[in-house]
Amino acid sequence: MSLIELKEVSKIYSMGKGSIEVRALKGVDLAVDEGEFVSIMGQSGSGKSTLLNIVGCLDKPTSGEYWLDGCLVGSLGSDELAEVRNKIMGFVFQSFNLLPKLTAVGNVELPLVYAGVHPRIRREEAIRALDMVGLADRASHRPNELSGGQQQRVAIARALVSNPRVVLADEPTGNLDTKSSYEIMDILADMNKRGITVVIVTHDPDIAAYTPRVLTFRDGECIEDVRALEGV
Amino acid sequence: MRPADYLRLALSGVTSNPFRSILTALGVIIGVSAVIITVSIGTGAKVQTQSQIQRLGSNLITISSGYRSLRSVITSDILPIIENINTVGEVVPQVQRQSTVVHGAEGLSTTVTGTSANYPSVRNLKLAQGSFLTDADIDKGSWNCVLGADLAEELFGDDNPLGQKVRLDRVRFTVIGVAQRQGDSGFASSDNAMYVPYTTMQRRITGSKNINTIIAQAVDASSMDLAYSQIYAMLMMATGDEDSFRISNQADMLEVASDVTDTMTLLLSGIAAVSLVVGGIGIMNIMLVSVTERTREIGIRKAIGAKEHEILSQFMLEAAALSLAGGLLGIVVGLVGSRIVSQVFSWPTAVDMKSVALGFTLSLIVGVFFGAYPAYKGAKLDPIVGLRYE
Repeated sequence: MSLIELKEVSKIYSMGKGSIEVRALKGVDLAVDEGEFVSIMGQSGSGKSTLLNIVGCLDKPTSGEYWLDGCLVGSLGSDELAEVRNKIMGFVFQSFNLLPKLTAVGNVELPLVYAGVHPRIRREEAIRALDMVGLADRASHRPNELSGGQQQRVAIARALVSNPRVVLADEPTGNLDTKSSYEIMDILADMNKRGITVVIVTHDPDIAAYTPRVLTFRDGECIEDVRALEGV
Repeated sequence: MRPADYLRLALSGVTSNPFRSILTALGVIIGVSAVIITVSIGTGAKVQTQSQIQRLGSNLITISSGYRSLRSVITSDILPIIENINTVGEVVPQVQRQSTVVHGAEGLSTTVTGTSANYPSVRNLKLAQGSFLTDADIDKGSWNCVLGADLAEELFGDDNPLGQKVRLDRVRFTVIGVAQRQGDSGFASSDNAMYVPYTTMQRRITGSKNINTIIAQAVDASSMDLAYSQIYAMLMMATGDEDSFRISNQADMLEVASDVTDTMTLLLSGIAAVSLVVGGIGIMNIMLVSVTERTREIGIRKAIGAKEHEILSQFMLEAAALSLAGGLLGIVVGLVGSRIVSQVFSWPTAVDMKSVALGFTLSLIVGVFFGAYPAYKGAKLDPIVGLRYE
């Protein structure tokens, strides 16, 4: 069984009282194995971000089943979902989403705070994660003292710090210049080599070219699932 | 999440915007200090009233004629019967009348009390000059009298009043003593007074054997109740009519006085507590703003694994920290404030530790109660809505 398995997953948003329904996802079937590096392509409104939110347990499907490592996510309560996001998932967002009042290391150790890790140990772990993204020397800087690329690397360190099995990145390079974008993609590819399943959402074919598997979405449906040949 | 992390988070929430935190806590500061000040004024008034009542003498039972009897049963005949009760020590008759005392061209209206020689010891009256009436004065109904401090001063000025004559109605009395100044007892000035033997009073002035009040002093505080019921039984036996006499004891007076100040204190601190509620609403308002401002932060925290109760605790503790800080500051302001009240307005105040505890507890309750709704709102926030919030 795959690590991530979606069966007939639909998501319908009802906008306001006028019962105007937006069908963001229309019965998507998807399986991602442990250790895969997948990108999801598509134009805005194609449902790719909605899919990522559902996979990340931030959102629930209107219908269909989501199995994560053999566990039916729909049956979990909000505390268990928080636990899944804390331990199994790591998130990287387009707009970084760092807390402006905390230093880089403070932001990185935040998942460990919610995991109840002892302050000394989590500080060590956070420094180690920052070191993996090459920012150990910027540990005590606040986000507004860092460049966009550096902020995104802090966010990746935050996603890595709790040793997740899956890292989900929603347009991780959307706010970055080309050079920073490639740096970020190198880090994500490196993480994948260490065995972490990485799923990124992007509309940039150059970014998608980094990943051996590319899913293309249009109007809430997966219209293409291309796997590059091994070693190409 | 570890307990220390909860505290750190709550404190950083309070200290990240110090000016706003102080303004928010101000409502609680005012409320708590107002409670402490009003209670301390109330307690001070109570302590003062009690000491005034105690100053009139201790362990006293007052017997007087009833409202509904045409002919008073409280007469000189009752005196020896009450004196014979074993739980009663001293017995003092008081035959009182408002009358005019004349010396030379001066005439003054005063309270004339016909009484016995043991009056000073029972009623805590001390003499400044001369001596009080003796048992011999009482027995033979002498023409000696003792003046209150004010009356002596008004009649004689700087002259020595001892040995001088004063006229009451058509009777001339010789001044043998002047009482020390007692101050206002809160009921009547005991310094504008004249004391004469009750025997003389009855024979020459009132013309009857009636006594307005008999003061019986119990032998000690523990026999007050027994003395009270024995006197009651005895009077019932002597008169056979419950309505023909009244007995009251000092404990009752103390109780009434305490009740009055207690009610006032309760009323005033109730008003003060209202301002505490207003302070609480201020906290709720700011916490709602704070939750809205930090919608994105809540979204991020939830995305990386914060549970609902952890977000709830974060904001609840922040509100509690705000109002507790306000409460502690309010206690300090209250203590200083009641000191100022007693010095500037010379009102007696006594800070009651119970009111300090009450203020502290109230501020905690206010913080938790008014912090609950904003915190719940934050905890229930959909993480996706939070992450998209600009």
